[in-house]
Amino acid sequence: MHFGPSPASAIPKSASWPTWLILALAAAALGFWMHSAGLGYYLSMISRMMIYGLAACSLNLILGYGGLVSFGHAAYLGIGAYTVGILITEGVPNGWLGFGLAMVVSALLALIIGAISLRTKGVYFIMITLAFAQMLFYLVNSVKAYGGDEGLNIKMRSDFGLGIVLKNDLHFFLLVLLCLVASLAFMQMLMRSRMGRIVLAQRDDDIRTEALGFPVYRYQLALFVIAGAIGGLAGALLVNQQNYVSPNLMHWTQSGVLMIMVILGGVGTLAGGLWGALLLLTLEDLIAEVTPHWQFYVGWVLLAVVLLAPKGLSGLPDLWRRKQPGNKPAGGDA
Amino acid sequence: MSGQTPSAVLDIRNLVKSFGALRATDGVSLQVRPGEIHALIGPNGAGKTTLVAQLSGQLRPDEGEIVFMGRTINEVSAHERVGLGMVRSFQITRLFKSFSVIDNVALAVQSRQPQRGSIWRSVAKDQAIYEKAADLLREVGLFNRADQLAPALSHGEQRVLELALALATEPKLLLLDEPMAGTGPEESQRIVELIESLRRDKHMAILLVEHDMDAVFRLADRISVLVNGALIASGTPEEIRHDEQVRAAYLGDEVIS
Repeated sequence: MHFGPSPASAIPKSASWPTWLILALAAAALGFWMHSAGLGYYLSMISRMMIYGLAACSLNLILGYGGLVSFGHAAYLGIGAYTVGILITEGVPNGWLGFGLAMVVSALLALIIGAISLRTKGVYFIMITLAFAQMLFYLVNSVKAYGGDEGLNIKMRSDFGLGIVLKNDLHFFLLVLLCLVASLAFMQMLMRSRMGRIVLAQRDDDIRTEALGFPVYRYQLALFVIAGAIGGLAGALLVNQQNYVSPNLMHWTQSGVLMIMVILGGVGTLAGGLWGALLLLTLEDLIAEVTPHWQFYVGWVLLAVVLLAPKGLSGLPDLWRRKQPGNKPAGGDA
Repeated sequence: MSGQTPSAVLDIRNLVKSFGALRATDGVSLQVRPGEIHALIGPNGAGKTTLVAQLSGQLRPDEGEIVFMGRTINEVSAHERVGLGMVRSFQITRLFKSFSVIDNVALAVQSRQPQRGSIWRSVAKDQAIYEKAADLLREVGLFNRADQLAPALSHGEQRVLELALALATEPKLLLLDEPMAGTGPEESQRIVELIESLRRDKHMAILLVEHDMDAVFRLADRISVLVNGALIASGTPEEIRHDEQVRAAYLGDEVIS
């Protein structure tokens, strides 16, 4: 007899620590190898994909696990990037301060946006999160002191001391990897916690969850703030990666791109956003070399994933296992 | 139906709720005493669900008072009412469909724990919660289904699980909104016995909204009859059975003969 969450439930299975460690070490080893093999350009590209992956994973927290379709997640990415960018422009390159503040500012922003938009549901929620993000987009556009619509170039990268040089491809890659692994580990802990179970429950039925005595709104807001903070962290990394941030980073199409990454990778899965970002940005780079109409082809890929693998890349192993003769579908699927 | 019993668990005083010109709740007063099953019956559209929604906090009454354990709770939010011990079940089965049966109940048990929403406490380590949930499932006869996803249950089993969820939150007053809805004779028998055992073993106060007259007359200590938003009668099953107004307005002779 067992006493614990049933395997059939939506509560995420815990990936064991060794798995985490091996994956992270393998990624780090790949970084070292690429750096020493003179593939710095590609390493930097992978860093960029991982940053978008981090942003998409944070969106997946509210969209996938929370069931709250936020259409303005790029706002946090942008605000995180601008916080670091503005600090550097003002002569405060300290990375600890910059990254910390980026997370705090985007968390506060998520608190305000969430506090208002979470009072609505469904399509209204989608529209109001979109509206807030567009408001910020136009606000940043109009701030001429920090580049306005031309964007903001930073003259140097964040400075963490300790011999960390973010201009170095490898150092930067390792920092991104560290942020990604730490965030994923945190999100896994969250979704396997008591709070995580409440989050999953309100996704199924918020009124029922309330009727069990849980203040649903507060948990939704907490989730929203956590996702915003992690989005801000991704933004802080991104401005360091491209030495530049422009209002376009906060445009609603960016929020759409993050959503596409989540759908490609698997809605409501821990690392789905990461796989989706890797796939989408790789496709973009590969197809863009052949034809400028890369979006047309990416559209077909998206269509194929939605129709053939509703759980995205993360669902593929499951799908494959089920296709094997002699294997029954996973227990209790309804 | 007057006379405020101070010992009443639930005391509804002159409750009014209108939607435009429609008075869906029209000056309703009733009490539920400790250990009592008070049934609320009435034809479709009489305003039963509207009343339950006001009691559980989904709707705010326009006038009147809802007093629970001596405290007026008109302004208390839905989830806080559950915290006070007033718990509802739903007419339409509302289960957590991506959770297994035991995880459904475990969530309900969790709502009564200190640090119930903690981010630092892994549910996998919530031994005590799962043991309680398992006990409850044994009690209601669903233990053999513990690891099934909730939608895999039969309709009758889902109704039982719906009840189990409410029970797991340790209510002082249960608001049962048509617990027998859509069940066959055997299944409703199972639910009737379950509700009987709650009164017998746990001395629980229950407000029972139900269409199944056999169940109502078997379970209820007192019955109130709601028609067009207003109570037309309130009394023991015997009194209601012989109430001319009730016979005329609602029950029909053959049903209660």
